[in-house]
Amino acid sequence: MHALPEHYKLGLLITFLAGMATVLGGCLTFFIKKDNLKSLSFGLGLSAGVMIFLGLTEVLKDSGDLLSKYFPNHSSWFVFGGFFVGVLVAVLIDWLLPDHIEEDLFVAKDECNPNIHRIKRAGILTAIAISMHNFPEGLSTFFMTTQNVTLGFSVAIAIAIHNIPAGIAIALPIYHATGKKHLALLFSFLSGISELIGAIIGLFLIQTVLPIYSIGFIFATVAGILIYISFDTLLPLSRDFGDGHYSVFGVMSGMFVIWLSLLLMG
Amino acid sequence: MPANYKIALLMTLFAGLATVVGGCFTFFIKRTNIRALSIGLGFSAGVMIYLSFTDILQTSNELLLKFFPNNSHWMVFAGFALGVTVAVLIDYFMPDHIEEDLFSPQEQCTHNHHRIKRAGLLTAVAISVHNFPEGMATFFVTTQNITLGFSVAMAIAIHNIPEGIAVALPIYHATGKKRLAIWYTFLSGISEPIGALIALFALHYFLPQAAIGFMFAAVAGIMVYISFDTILPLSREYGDGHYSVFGIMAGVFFIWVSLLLMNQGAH
Repeated sequence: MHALPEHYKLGLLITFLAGMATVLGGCLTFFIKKDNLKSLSFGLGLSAGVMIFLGLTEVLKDSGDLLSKYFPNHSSWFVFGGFFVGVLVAVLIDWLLPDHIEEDLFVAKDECNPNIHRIKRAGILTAIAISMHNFPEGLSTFFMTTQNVTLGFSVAIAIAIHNIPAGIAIALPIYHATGKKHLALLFSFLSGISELIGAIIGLFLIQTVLPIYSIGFIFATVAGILIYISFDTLLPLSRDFGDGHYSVFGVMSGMFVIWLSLLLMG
Repeated sequence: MPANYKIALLMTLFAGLATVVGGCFTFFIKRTNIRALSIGLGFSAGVMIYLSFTDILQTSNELLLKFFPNNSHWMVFAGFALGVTVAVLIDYFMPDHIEEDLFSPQEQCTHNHHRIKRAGLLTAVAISVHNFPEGMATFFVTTQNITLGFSVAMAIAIHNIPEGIAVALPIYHATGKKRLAIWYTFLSGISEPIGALIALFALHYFLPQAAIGFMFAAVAGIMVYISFDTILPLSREYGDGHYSVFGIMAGVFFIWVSLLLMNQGAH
């Protein structure tokens, strides 16, 4: 049994808030118009830019620093190994449970709904899939925050931004199929709360089974997950919702914003 | 003269002339090879993004630390921003015309040979302009660090292959002359070593030593922007999403392991 990690309360709080961005997305569903898709494209690009930048610079560097204390000669190989495991985990989740955020869910309401049952089912499946994806994200945010509050906060922002469209993807089909706002919000809440559950399990692991030196390894794993999600899910979605320019503009803005904030804070 | 300048020029030349290899592919290309192009472009983007954010920015900071002990991080940031700005400006004034319809099978309409040939010429000019800063980048990086320069040259060579195809295909279709098609790919690739020669000249005469770290950061900015703006979208167009992501991750892992192995050998 280890001592409770530093900042664990803050870690849980930040993870909870990042997860609840799905509910915010759910609320947006009731007002969404077709033109807002451009800002969605920009936002997803921004989120990808932040995650790629953080993953390849800060998170890997911290991982190397943490690991070099325990493995002075092989730390860079362990960083690589951790990153590889992260990509593998993300690929497996994707393979077993592809997330069903599809563009046609965003088509206008007025189009016939002859198969309400199918649409509702799409919403519920999306909720389950996104919950599964949120779980390692919650774990990541929590681990980051316990070691480095600034970094954890940055990761949380990137995750919150892309949880908004995830919430929309859940709420929209359920709202369309049932017409019940509270049901749509409930499902977006449930998928967001898995972020917090991931964090609590992370806390439990650190406190009981995980040796201290594995934290550096987990950092590299987190970087792998962040990078894979960005290239596999966020960037393609961002390009689907706008023309290429919104997406690239978002990516570059994300990198500059996060870099500047780190410079100003550090 | 900077160290390694001969190797740097040679590597830049080879990376540039990968366009000619692409041009030769044109005569054999089939529709199915486009998947390989998708993976290859993703691979190239993965290598360039990884190298930029890890090695090049880090080297830039180390070089700048000597001259600006307190503000080196800000100088790195400014260099990167400058690189992105340069890439955006080139893109704005001279968009590159690598379009998918150029890859459609030959038998389709040849009623406007003139337009097709013009597309090929414009593509050749545009790619020359884009290759120019890439040549400077490869050269600068190689003079400071051969391993890193070699990695950059490899990534650039890989994505020069489809660029060569984009130049040669329309010209070959419009004129039927293989020689002419290859000649234009050569012209668009040779701007790579010309960029390197100008970089050598600048380095030798008026660039202060302190500027090199700054140039490194600018190189990272150019490579990151090109990857996200041009290479990744092209990679997705040529295959379904999976080829592209597979290429990216393969590129990241490949370059990472190679650097680990090479650094281990050096110790």
